[in-house]
Amino acid sequence: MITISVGLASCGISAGALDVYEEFKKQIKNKEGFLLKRVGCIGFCYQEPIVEVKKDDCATLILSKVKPEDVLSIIDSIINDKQHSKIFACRNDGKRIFDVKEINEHEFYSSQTKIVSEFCGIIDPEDINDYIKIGGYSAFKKALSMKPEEIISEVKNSGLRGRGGAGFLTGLKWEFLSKSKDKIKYLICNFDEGDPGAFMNRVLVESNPHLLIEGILISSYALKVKKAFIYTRIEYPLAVKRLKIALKQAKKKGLLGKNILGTNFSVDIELRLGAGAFVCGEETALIRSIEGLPGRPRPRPPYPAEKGLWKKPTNINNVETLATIPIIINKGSNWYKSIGSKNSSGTKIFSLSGDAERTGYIEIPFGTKLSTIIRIAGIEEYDFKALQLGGPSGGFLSKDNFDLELDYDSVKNVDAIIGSGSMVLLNKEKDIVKQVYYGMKFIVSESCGQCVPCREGTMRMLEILEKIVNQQADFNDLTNLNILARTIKQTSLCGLGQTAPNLVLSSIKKFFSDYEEKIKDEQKRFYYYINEEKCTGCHICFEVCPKKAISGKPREIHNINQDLCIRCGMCYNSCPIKSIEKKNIK
Amino acid sequence: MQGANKQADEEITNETIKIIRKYKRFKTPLLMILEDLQEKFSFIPQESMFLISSQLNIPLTRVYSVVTFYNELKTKKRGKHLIRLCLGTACYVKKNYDNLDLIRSLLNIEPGETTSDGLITLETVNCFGACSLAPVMEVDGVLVSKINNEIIRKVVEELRNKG
Repeated sequence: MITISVGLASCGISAGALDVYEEFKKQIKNKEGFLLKRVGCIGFCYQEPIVEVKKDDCATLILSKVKPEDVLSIIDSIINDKQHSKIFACRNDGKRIFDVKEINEHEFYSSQTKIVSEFCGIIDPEDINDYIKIGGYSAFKKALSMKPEEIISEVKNSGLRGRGGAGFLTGLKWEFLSKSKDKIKYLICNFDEGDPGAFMNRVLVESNPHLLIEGILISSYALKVKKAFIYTRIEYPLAVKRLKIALKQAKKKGLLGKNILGTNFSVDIELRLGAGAFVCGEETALIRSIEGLPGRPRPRPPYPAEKGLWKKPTNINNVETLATIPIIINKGSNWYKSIGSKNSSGTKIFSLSGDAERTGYIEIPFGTKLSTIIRIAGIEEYDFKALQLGGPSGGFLSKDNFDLELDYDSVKNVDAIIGSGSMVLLNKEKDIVKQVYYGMKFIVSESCGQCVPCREGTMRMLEILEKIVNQQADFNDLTNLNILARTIKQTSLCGLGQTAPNLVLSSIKKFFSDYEEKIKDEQKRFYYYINEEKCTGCHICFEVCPKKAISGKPREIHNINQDLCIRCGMCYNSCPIKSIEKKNIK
Repeated sequence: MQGANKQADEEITNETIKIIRKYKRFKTPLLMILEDLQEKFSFIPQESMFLISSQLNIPLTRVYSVVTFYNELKTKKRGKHLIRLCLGTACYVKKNYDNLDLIRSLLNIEPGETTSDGLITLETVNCFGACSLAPVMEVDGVLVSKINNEIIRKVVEELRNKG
């Protein structure tokens, strides 16, 4: 028996995997002993389209960058056990026919710990039976035999922190909701992955949607919720399609709906789509969006655990958080706690993109060093300039942070955030100020416009950044930018505004030279001089000059000492007869 | 001409009512209805907004405010073909702004506009979540990855030939 699995997540499809899939279908139609399988993404996005071939008891072969025209030769080489140029790794699940590197030895894989994404790219995301075969829904069945309080204390003990960005303890959040006496409660899965540069939730759902559904089922049982929502993005059509299929299949198997598996427990999961608003990732904005209102956040408290969707107690968790729950239930909280760092247990999926040789998603335990990530991404240390962590509201990590062990707290200490888990790598040719300027453009366009600090403040920050990028700014502008950023951080209503200045603050601290360069440049490009024919010797310039760079007695012609002058322009602006002139160098 | 308009109006009315009915058992379904309309007509017709307002008993201003708040809901009809260029962080790093300039000059329109013959609409999107294959764009719903000048020229030409 030969099983051929084609990676058909969005990344694979955009690289042409559908054509490859169709070609395999055509070629094996009349052949016996072949099984063609649709799978998700194993993480090596830069190698897409990826095809895995498993023949009898041989090790699974992984082929990369497969084109439709390779299909015939691939089939031939499988049948005759011949080497093929597209084979780039194998799995450790059988006897090896030829000398190929094992995937776990590959630099991209070796430092990863695949827990949540273990079966991504291995099982068929559109077939519930494939998920059940690998032990799917066993955690849910186990959970049904536990008391809800036991599950909550298990999650609490695991130390799992919310993967959406803030890193709040999930168990604690659950406890808040479970204390509520209200009969109607809601659970919302936040799948509004709007953060540019982040795609780990999309990959997870496209590759293993049942894991998320199982997580929601267990959480609903633990929280005594009868109605759960998945709020996702309209920009993720494939994830939506696969979720719909998965929900339908789960319902058919009696895992969803009334009296699940013959118990008293009933829950319904409903899919709701956002329509392209970044701010809806904020929990109160998300609630309003489901309520059919513009997604504008509201002040907290009251927190959603008290008054959430339709004024009922509501618990909101991120996709990855919920997808981790079945694993904790199955393997126990103590096991989970043993992975990761002291205050951030477990693993986190990050999406790698930007100036890296190897892009894709990776799952690494908390406490992994930045230098390890750089190695995984395949960017040379000398070429590396910065890692933008957490998207436009995140921060930068620089070469100075190579030894930093990444977790929620350590990253916060160096003015960045783990955020949703997007990692964009920048090489040494990239200009940080431009990167910040671009990020601010995004924030300005996504600010909901409700509170003044965010609506007006981000716009003003953008203006100053534009000035700096265009080399028209002076140090006063930089000072203003810094003050403005701090004010917005303190006074904005919601998470979007409070994190909007993060890039600015982190870049000023870590890449000040990028700013300085532009300001100095501006000051070097011209100089001021006094036109001797016009000067009346009024002495005003002498008085305003902060650097005492101007010499001359009253009623005598004055002169500027170019070595002392910092080109602040004060004399230029104060001369009553405009005798001070500006001249460009070159 | 007027007959054709009337027919189009009727279709809009019928579709809108059909979609409203589809979501009858849902609580606060406004956004769902609008998303379906957007998919059907590639914009939200004014008549639909009136209908939704009266059928769901929601003030028209609120319907309109929701339509204009969300980026994916449009008030203007799109062209026959749609090019959506990603300007997410990774695509920015991979110089998708240069690609945007090229498309702008090829089509002679700005993002959000449609060519004068009503054939191609150009839009920008904040992120498709295909960052590992940046720079990307979406052409009539199909994601095209690692785009360059050559691919863009080819895509535009193909769309023009298709008509």
